[in-house]
Amino acid sequence: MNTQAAETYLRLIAEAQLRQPPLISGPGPHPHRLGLAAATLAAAGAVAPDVAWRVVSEFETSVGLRSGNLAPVVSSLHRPRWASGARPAPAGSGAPTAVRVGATLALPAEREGWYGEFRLLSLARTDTQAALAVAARWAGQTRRAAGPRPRHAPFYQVGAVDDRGLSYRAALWDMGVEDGRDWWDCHLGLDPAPAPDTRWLEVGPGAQGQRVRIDLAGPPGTAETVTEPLEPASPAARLLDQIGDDLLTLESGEAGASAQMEGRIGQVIGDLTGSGALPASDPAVRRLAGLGWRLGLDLGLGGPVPARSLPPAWISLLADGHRRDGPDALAPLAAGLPEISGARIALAGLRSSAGSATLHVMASGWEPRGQGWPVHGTGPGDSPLGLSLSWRARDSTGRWHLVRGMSWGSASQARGMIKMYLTPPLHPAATALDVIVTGPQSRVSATVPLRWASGGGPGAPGGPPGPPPATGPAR
Amino acid sequence: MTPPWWAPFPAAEARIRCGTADHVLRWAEGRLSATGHADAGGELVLAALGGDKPECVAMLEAWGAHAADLDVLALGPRGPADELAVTWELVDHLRASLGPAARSVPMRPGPAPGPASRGPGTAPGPAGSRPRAYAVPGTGSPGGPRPMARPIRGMPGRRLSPEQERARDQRVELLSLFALGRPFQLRLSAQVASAWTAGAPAGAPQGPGSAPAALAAALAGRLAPAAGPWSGLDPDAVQATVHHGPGWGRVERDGPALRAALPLSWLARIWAPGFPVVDGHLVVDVLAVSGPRVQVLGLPAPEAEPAVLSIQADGENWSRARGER
Repeated sequence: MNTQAAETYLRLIAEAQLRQPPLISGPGPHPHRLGLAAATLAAAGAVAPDVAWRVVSEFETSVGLRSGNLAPVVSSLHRPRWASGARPAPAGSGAPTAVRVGATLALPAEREGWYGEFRLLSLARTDTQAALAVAARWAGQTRRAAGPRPRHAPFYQVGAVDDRGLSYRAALWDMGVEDGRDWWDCHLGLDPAPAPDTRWLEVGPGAQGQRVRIDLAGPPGTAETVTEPLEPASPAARLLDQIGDDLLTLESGEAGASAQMEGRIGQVIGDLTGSGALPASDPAVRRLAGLGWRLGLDLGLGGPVPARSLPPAWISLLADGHRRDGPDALAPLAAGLPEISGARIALAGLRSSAGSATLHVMASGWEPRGQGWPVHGTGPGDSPLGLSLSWRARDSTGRWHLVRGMSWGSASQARGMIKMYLTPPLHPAATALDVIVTGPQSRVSATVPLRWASGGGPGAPGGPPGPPPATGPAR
Repeated sequence: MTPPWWAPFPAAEARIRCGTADHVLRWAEGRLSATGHADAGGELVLAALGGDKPECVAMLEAWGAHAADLDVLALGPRGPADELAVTWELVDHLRASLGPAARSVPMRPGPAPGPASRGPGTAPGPAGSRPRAYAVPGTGSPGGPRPMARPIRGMPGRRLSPEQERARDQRVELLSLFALGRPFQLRLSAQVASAWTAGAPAGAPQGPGSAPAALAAALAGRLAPAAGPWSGLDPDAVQATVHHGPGWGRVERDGPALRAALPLSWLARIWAPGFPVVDGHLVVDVLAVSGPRVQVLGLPAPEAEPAVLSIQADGENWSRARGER
């Protein structure tokens, strides 16, 4: 790839933009024209991240010097982390492993009369990090006069103790906003991480002093895995494929309503081909054009392409993307994946609902960066890079699932834990899930059985055991 | 024989407050000098040994440090309508906001140039403060309001790495050179372009990215605003590349675009002195300079044979010399 030609292309965009003041960023979090081009070419590896950042900062400084806005003169001195091109620090030493838990910790009732529960899915850990994947919810009321269900998550302080009597702090992280949802997918970070030879852990106390014992003596969860080498694909082609995935995960109406999105994606394609990062005749361009046509998006690339030119995952999403037939259930799965592109990953539980599924993973040596930026936007300090690994899944019925978004926190206790939101929902008859992770040179597929525990109300199969507690200490 | 790149430029002067005196920085024949310092070189040596560095001497040092700095072309003016809102007030404000710099000397304010006039580039200081430094260019500046800088509030208090501190100091230093006024901005731009004409100069600042890419953009960004209207096209339709080798290059229509390949020296010898287009001709080479008259090669149209023209300046505008039409 001719990086000098790509940098020249980027700088010429800056010159053209400088002739057209004022500088206007895109709507919401979307960057200005040059920012988008810089993010595109940096993500595709056509220009180095620090060069992309330098061109943008020079441009913004130039605009500031002409408009009288001097803030960019100063802010451009602060190079964002992504511009250094540094890889993320590993979440912990060694490869993460996971064990199934599949237990419920009932919680005492709160002042409002509602009592919650923690559904402990799986425990993932490295030598230095450990966290439980948890699905938390309000499980019921102790009395009829209780008020409406709280909008906040059930939050109850628990701890852990091991077979040698050592205590661990346990803190809930990554719960998300208090929006009255049915389930909160979150992580219970353990501090310190249990030693490798720890035989068991007890987490609690919950209602009536209940504790959940987690057996750590057995082997960690495994899965049938297949690693296959791939024909080298250019980062630019992978970027377009990722944009296709992102388009297919948009809520219905999001894509069609956005002429700006059409323009933005068309611009990404134009920047990749115009800079020489990707030939205009590349199959990835044709694929994305065909997908855009089927989604009713005019990417400026012409009409339909045969279905055989599109990846099976896209065909599946086009057919089933609107489904809302997922089982309301939990799968305390656990599996370690072989190394891929320097990353080690463990699958650590899944919660399925009618509209989507949440997959918990622990990753070491990889973190999501710039997820979905061409479609969802990016802030000024956000990384535009993120092509090292891409994720898809396919359930045992043949239905494909793409990652609509990822969520992770910065708390050290839950570092490396990532929630991936899969769409469309799992097929009601699915009994297993292939999780497919693709890097630049290889692909890993891990098949994990879905041994469902129901996500239904108390008393439902797999629901919380025993009668609800009558009372409990207030938080 | 090709005249030196600086030959078409008239001298330019700027006044700055240096210590307790009011000194003149003078640019002539490609060199910046401090008229109030007979032995500026000796003073620089003394400063390096720990002595005080007068502002004039600091400015000479800064000029030399940026004489091959591609940031000058990245941030500097692109054309007559492209005004920078860089004033001494801004530079002082930036220095105060960013904290003490290792290399730079705070620019102390100077007096107004005369009792009845503050002159172009003068920025009034706040009530009760000392008067600000000012610049008096040797050539007139175009009329019309200039954009004024807005003060920065709430500067981020993030700690900078040593590398970032150097970048900060260099950036403020460059802006202080820009604050000398538009004539100095153009002459410094010309000096940088000239320095790179024969390849990478020794000791040029090395940043991330490719110098040829930055130079190609610098040429395109300055040629387009001139060549677009000259050819009846939008400036965005002008595609410029750097011409290497003998001759002045080529300019031709290619469908809806204008393709131009010009040497980098075009920036120093033609664009910066202010005569990229004269009397409907795109100037592509300088043949001779004699007093106020400059003999140039100009294209009446794309792909046309260049004509020899004699031009001369009237203020900032250039036109055919008298008796040439």
